[in-house]
Amino acid sequence: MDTVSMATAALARPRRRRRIALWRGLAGLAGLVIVLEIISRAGIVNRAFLPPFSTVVVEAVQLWGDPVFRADVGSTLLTYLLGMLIAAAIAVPLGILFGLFAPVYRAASALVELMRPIPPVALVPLVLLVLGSGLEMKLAIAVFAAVWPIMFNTLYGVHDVDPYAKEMARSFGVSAFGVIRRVVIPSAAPFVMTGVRIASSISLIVVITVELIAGGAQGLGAFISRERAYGDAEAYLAVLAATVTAGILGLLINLAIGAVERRFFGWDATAREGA
Amino acid sequence: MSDPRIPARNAARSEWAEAVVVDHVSHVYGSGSTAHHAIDDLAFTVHAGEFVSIVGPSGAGKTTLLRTLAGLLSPTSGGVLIDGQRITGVPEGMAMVFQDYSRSLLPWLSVERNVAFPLAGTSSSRQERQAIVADSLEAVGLKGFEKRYPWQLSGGMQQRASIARALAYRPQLLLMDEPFASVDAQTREGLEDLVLSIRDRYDMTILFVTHDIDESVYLADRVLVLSRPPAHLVEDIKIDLPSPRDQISTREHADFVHLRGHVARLIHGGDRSR
Amino acid sequence: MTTTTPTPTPDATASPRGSAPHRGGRRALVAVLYFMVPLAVVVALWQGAAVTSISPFFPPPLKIGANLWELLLGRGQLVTDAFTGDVLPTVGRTALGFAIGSAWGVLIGTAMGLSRGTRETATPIVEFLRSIPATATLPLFILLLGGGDDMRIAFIAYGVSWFVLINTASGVGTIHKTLIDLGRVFRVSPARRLFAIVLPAAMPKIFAGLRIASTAALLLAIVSEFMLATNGIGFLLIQAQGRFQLLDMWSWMLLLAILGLLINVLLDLAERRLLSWHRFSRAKI
Repeated sequence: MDTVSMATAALARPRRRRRIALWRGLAGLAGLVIVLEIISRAGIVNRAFLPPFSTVVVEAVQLWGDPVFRADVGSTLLTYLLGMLIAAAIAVPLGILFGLFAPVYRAASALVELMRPIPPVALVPLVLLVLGSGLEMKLAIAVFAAVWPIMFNTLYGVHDVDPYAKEMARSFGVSAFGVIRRVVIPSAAPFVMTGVRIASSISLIVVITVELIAGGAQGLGAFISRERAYGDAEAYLAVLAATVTAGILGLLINLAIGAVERRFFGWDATAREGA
Repeated sequence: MSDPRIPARNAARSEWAEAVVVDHVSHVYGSGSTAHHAIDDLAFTVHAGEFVSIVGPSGAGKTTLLRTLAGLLSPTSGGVLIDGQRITGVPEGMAMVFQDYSRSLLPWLSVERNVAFPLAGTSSSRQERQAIVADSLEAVGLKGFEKRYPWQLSGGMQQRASIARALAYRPQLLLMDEPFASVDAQTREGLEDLVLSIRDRYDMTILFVTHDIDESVYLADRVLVLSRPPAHLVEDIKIDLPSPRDQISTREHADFVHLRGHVARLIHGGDRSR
Repeated sequence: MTTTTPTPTPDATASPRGSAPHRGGRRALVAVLYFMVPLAVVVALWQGAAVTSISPFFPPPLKIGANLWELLLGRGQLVTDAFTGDVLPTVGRTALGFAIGSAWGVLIGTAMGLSRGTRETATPIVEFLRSIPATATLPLFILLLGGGDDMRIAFIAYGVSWFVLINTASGVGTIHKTLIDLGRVFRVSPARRLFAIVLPAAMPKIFAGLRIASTAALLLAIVSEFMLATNGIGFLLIQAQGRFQLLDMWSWMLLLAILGLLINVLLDLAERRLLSWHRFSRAKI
């Protein structure tokens, strides 16, 4: 048997493996849905606590018909997107700077290590007083939360650049700045992407949480908070449906970023294993 | 006259002359058009107390065979008999030394705890176990290194520890999977002689897989030469070199040169015939 | 036949790691200086700016520190009511929620890591559930369990468990093949295989999950105290906000930063004790 056939045999196995995994996953989901539906309709668990899955789905769809809900979701998504952009604009250059010049990083590290552990959500009371309860407040906190993963992953990526690759470029006469542009940044790009992925899920959670706890804000979290205040069964259903919607949003965003990672950074092992 | 060597744990059972019988074993990975035939209709017998080298070109055949012998893999056809019993899974009284020593020692345990690891399931008392561990470490030349951790040892020493662990198990059958492939040449010489000294000191059958032709001839009583996949037995060569073997004088010996040349021709010549 | 015992040849230095004490001491000093000097500069600048200008939003840092001291340690008493009545409950909820959530995460994560079938079946469920922002489930928890402490601890445990679960599943699932073979070849019992081989080998990843979980636990505790609470640091924050007491607010945030730092330090110490083998092995490679 020759090497070509051996290689083909080795490649075919992962594809079959993925199909098996897909079926198993779908089976798992379907099983969960069926179980949830049954135990609720059969009254095994109190319907007030756990409405049937189908009811929740119907409610979620109905929510989408409500323009107020749609506006809230839009506000959340807008804050999320803007927050990610601003955070990236701040964190990537900082990360590159810190990664390339260790003394600068060491000088800044005291501040960084002190600011980092502050839970972004804990800043809400303060920022509420300073900036009010509008978009700027949410944005400030979202940016604060997203900056750290992006910056640290960028830093790590710059550190991790193969020194031999840099030497090789220099030996071909590439200038110092050219090395940064053509070797360091492409090398570090997958790490930046990982940082973006982590920051994305954190950022969405933070935005929704901020909306939840800050009175008077707009957004999906605010919607949930308002509904909860009614306290009755109908409100509970709405809260449940809205929460599930938040989860689906998060999942979709995660999948989208994962797809981008695989498409553009599939050559790097960390991107492949991360998603 | 009684055998001065240290007996295996299940010594009473190893009265069989035929320690290992490979009964027309074949193994195919995958199926259909993408199937890979690793080994094809292998059959041979190993007698108790023999040192058999299995050598062949790089490829999946040798490792597949060893895993089948160890009971880690079920052959797609045929079977392996150890002490006359067909094995279904890992048999008793067998120990293995892996190629990747850096992964096979447990990094969170000290050397002596690593060596004692296989003994925890047995019924020996604490003193017995300590004695066995001490003896095994001495046999591989690691006396004094009991409390060290694997990351503190060099590659050669880690492999010695790995061998000591296999010895502590007091196996009848010792399988070694290219154990010195990742070690530098000079360390390898020391380790080869170590294996020979162990062979003298303990009563066991040893199967040694390697891709190093010189090593296979130097160590063994018999050399089994495998072909490229689908691997079949090319030749079963008896090695009649004087004992004790010596790294320099044995390798100068005319018979050694002739034998290793023969094996080399069998391997490099490739197999056009089946 | 003669028996030959080979002479031991320690082919490489087997001395434990660690440089000469003098060099290490100087390096530590330089590291500390690098840390303290810029921090001191920033604090000094902030102090100067705050004292000269009159913005109520950014009190001078020294005043924040002094206020915190007073809030916690009081004058005359050993510790204040705020300490026992708010800080301790928050810490307690954090710790309990973290413990329960981590235990659950390790349990399910191990189950998922050990069996490919379980893993593939459960992964979409896990991925979906964990996409739901944990904090967003707070209203659900409140509606289901009321406004008491058991709700808060359940909420914290729920949020924390995902991090630990995923890391455990990854750690257990990516054990090197040789270790698995080792367990089989030496006929180790399945129970011993799990506790003596699999879990220690997965410990580095599990611990990484625990670190993330610990930070998340504190955060979730604070968030849970923003709604329907009667005590806790989160409650104090909201209270200070309502009363426009900026100095108190900054003090509590400082406390949170300190608590976060303490948690990190504690886990660092634990890691040093439990996972030193991992650090050294990796350094060698």
